[in-house]
Amino acid sequence: MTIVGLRTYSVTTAELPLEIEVTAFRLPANRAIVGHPRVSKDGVLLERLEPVIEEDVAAFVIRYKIALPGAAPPLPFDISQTVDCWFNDSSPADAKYQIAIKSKNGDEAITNVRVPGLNPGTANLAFQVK
Amino acid sequence: MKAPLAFLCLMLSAAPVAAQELSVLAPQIADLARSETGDPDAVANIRDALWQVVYLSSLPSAGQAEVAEILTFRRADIQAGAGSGASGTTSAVLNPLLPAIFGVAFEDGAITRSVSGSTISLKVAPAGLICAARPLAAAAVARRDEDACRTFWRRVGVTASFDTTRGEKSTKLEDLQTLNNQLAAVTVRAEVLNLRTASGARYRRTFETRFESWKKAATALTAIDRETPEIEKAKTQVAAKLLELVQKPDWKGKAVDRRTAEITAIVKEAARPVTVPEVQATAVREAWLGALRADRELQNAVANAPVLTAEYAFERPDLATEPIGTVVPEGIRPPNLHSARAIYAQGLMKTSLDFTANASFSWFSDVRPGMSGSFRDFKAGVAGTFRLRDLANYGAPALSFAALYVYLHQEPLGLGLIAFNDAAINKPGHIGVFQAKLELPTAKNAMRIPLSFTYSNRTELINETDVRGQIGISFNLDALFVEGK
Repeated sequence: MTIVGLRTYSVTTAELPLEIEVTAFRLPANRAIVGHPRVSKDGVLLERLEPVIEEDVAAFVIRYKIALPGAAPPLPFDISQTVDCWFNDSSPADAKYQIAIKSKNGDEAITNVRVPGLNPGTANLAFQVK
Repeated sequence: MKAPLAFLCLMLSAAPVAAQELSVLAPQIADLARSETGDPDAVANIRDALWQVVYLSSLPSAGQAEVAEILTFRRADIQAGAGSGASGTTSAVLNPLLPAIFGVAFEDGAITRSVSGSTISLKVAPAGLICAARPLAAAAVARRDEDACRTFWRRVGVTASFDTTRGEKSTKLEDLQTLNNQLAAVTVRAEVLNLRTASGARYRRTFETRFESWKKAATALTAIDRETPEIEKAKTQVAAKLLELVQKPDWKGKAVDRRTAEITAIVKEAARPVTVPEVQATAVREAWLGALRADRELQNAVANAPVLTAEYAFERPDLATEPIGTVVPEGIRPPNLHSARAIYAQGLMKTSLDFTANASFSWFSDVRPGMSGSFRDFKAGVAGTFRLRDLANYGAPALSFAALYVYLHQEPLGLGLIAFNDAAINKPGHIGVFQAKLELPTAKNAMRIPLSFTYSNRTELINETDVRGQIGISFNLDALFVEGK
């Protein structure tokens, strides 16, 4: 997995599934909402994947995987996803959601969503599958 | 002539994105402006929030009411410290919360005592302090994460109060020999119930209904495709220009204000030409507003959850240099005083009004000849506190109104008893107190300054109407422990 831009990652099919872990820091609960991964080719939306979300409430962690789509289009294609992160009014300025993306071969990339001026804080993740 | 014309053209073309819409990105813009290295995450956070600016801008009149309501959910303040937990005793009715780790308060004035004094209170949660000593745990303890300090004892706090005026004498106190030891009181307080600090699994259990309502509404917002091709184009432009800006050699040398202005100009320019179809805009605004409303209900449920605290206090009076009636001979200390108190707080649902009730009674440690028993007094109080809107970089002020009733069963042979004018001061009876108090935050809520005015029909010692002003200062030093998790 290679970071090719802001929250944009280039992956090979051999590196799928990606394991994604969203952790809330300095918040009373993890209130991240994970959107459907959208599969598209040349800008045309082909499929919405249904993420299977596993939650570790005590650890403030939400985990899910992005696997190779069942009806994968010819390479290359894109998978994009929105993660909305909700904060409390009283959360400290250094509260954050950390999104850790791990590929099958062990590569890891981390991005952070910090306190927004208005809920939700958003992370748009983009994966270029080659 | 050309210059004013060009300026006018610029102003007209910039009109669709107003300052208030851009204000929703203020923390993200400030985050990047403060970054010497031009943190890519900070750039991404601005880029990915651009949809908010677009959906709040350039709207037909039909959507303006919704936009105005959405803007009311903006954060006015980004607090650096833990929430307010410290309280000074310039209060007629006590707040149930102690600091999670450590706090200091200084107060000058008195509520039911006849002689105002100056007291420094050290407040500590011993278990919190021990838990905070573990590597990486301090911040979690300071924000009251239950999982960070899994012991009953984290709910117990100890306060030691030192009367700094002991050792000095005013003319009114000439019959009193003050103690060299300034320790005036020790208080042990235990949180019996505190749902406001619930986190993790307990948070989910306690506020399950509101949480599920919020989650449903928030999921509906996330499920909408908010990004149109025009928004995607604007995002690409913003990201490219911001990265170019932060990679320039002069970025580090620029003042934060200048960086902020340049970032703002880039965002404004990118968002300005973007329009979205009205059907799409309406769907996003409605879903967003629904999620924000559900979020507010969830947050109000947390802020208004009940808190019950039990407290025991031990107070030591000064020595008497003259006999106090027939009870305390010269050179003898009056009996020590024990007090037990219950403090309950509960907010009013869907409001920012918090009610606190206190009930306590106190008794002397020994019964001496001339006393009618050990029971000294009963106190009951109720307070309504309005949590006011946050002041940017300061915290949330609080305005409260409180009423306190004291039944003094016998001579107040305790702390504050001064052996003068005994004909007027030693009568048992009923005391009523009304207090208005404004608590001003500062230093991003780590320090609070309570200002209060109190009216009472009498004090413990002088049977006359009394009006007082009090001022205090309290430090919630939990903020010192807030460092990286």
